[in-house]
Amino acid sequence: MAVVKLKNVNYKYPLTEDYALKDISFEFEEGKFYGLIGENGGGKTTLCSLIRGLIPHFYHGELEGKAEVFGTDIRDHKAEELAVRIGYVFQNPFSQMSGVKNTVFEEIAMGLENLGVEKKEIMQKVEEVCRLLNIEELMDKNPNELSGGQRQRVAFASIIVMDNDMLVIDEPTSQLDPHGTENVFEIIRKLKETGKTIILVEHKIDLIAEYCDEILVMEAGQIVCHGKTGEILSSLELLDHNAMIPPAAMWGHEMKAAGKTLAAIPVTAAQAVEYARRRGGTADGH
Amino acid sequence: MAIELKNVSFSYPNGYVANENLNLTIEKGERIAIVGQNGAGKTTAVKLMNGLNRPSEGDVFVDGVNTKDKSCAWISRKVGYVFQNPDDQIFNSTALAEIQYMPKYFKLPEGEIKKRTDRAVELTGIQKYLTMNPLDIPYAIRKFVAIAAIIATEPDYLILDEPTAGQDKRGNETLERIIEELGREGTGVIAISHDMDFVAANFPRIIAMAHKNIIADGTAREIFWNEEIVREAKIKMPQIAQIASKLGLSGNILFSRELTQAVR
Amino acid sequence: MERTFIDSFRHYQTYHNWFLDFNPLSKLNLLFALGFATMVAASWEFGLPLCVLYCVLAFCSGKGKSFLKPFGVVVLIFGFFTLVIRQFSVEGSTVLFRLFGVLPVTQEALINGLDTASYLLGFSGAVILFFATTQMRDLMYSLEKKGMSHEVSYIVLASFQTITDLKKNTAQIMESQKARGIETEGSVIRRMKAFFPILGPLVLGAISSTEEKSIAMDARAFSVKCSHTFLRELRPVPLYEKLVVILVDVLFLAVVGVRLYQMFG
Repeated sequence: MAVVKLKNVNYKYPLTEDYALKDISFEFEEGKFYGLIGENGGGKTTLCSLIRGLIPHFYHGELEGKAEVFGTDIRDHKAEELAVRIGYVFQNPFSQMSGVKNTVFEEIAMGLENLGVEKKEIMQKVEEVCRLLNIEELMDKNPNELSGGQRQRVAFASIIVMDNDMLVIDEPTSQLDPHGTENVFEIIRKLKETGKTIILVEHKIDLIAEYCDEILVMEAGQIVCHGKTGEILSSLELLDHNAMIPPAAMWGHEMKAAGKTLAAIPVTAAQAVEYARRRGGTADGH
Repeated sequence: MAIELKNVSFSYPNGYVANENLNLTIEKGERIAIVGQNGAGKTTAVKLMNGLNRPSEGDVFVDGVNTKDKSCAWISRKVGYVFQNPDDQIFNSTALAEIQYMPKYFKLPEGEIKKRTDRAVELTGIQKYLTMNPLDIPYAIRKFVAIAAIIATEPDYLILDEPTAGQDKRGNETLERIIEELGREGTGVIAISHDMDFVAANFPRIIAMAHKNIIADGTAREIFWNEEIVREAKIKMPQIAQIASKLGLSGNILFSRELTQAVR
Repeated sequence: MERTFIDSFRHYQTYHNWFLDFNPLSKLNLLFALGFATMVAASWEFGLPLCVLYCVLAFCSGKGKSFLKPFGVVVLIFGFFTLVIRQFSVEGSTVLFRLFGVLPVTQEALINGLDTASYLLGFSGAVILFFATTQMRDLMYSLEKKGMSHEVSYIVLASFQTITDLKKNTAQIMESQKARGIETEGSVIRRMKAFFPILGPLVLGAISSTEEKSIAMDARAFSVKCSHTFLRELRPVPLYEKLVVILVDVLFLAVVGVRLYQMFG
């Protein structure tokens, strides 16, 4: 079942001349994990804003075409309700903290308080989320004194606790170190297991390759390719669209050019290792 | 001509020690990457190099001048520093004005200003954004406006803090070009980065930091193939090296052409 | 450890101190009644003991330091100045002693000064004591319970964090501008030149982070219209607290009554 249906969608921000989205037609299916990649300024964040209803409710401008979320036209949704049904985590870990709560526990509970959920249930859910995301040790800390990586984990918890139908995650790790990035992707892996629909914008192509079911590539406001992760990220065509492919895939193509074709073009390190082993060993005899 | 850190320690006024006994010499024209976890002291260390931080103990020399004797603004004409967030720096109403601000501030002759601006713009590839308000320029490209503004001051050393964060393929390529070009012209380039593939491909010398100290100083091969350093600095091997390592290949492979040769 | 922390939300929040645990609105009522009473009474026999009472309350609730610091400043500035100025502006015949052997200090002027000082101190002491013994979030909680919108509450509470954030950003921006060669220290002209390079990014940063924050808060159901739950709850106001408040209010009315009688009766 499609949770988001876009047909011939065009969108222009107020006071601008060029379309930020051009003729977008795509259906996002329930329970799938989509990776959204491509050049900066190519429309990735704009597409996220549209799906979340920020366009047209928060950012005005010209929206054309058919855009449905959960079976209802985006324009007919109540903005404040859609904002909750589709969770959102973004780049800047600092602006995602409310700034009014003294402990991480209260910070995470804030969304449920706003929804008027019963206190007992709030406490149970917050505790569950802390356990799921492995942030129990942060519970009684002040959210305004945490590191960027810790804040980003709290931001995830604060959104996930509301049990959204769908999640949009926009470059969650661009300000984090490898360790913080790993922690965040660990969270994303757990989310994937819960079977929610997820849309992830990310430049770290090796991680995209490892986690996503399907990939959409955007360039100049259009979706220029889409398909299964293995198919898309193994294609050199991506380079012409100003998108990167994983080092493992680049290597796969080099092997092919050198006449040592692998079983398939690998997109993750694990695949590369497997295909190399299948060729039966290595030049230096191991 | 070099930046020299001699037995340098640094602690904040509140007593928090951020760097302990750093010893490091960076020659003019060298390309160096600093890697390590957040909180390892990378940023405080580079701030020592341009006088934003003054050592609590030890001395820092820039081309023989002790940073204790000069203001940060004075040192910055030798050691340029591009912050991670371009929005901390940009304040002019067009990208061009931002790039020309420092040359004008230094009261350089008209011709020199033009020469420097043209070069900075060319290197960073932001020709089509020059007349735009920086706020209307996408964030990733705004970073290049900030870099261009520092390049236009023609420092002898350029420090880049997390230049690849959030960059796409084109952005990465532009950065590689800038680093190579400046290095060739004899400008020292010092980059803090979490992007291991980028570091391995572009920097002949890598410094790994962990818990306030420099724990290793060497080539990419020496750093990334040393299990202990990788673990202690909490960094990651580049993906090709990971594959080679899992396959048990020898030769400390980092790049895909080497891997292609090694796999039968 | 973890368990006790979580369980603390199951009970009413308490500071384990009878005065701190007073409902913020009771405290507000109480202290403002006392503060206004000193203003109406405008006599030192009423005002000065009250100031002593404030100090006692502050120490009883363990907030002696955070009360005395600002209050001490007020005492020094207002108290001292009114006493000195009154010596010059009020004519008096009863000379108590001569300062430095020349300046006469009169009883009339001293009492007049004490009266004025006591109502200034009596009122400002009440305000200072209130904020020293009340957490802002508790006050906002009580006001929200009385029907104030949670938007107002959020803005008030967030503004404190915003000030901290702005300070941090300013330091960061200053470093960034110094690092590109702009002098931020030294002569006035140099500092003036650094004004726009610092203010510009600060304002623009504040605008963009406000936009981001409002999007982030909407994702946390901030704009959904429904009645809210409070994870942290304050105890319902107990009977004795109500009685204390009523007692003080009656005292206030009595003072007003006496004063009116003195003026017109």
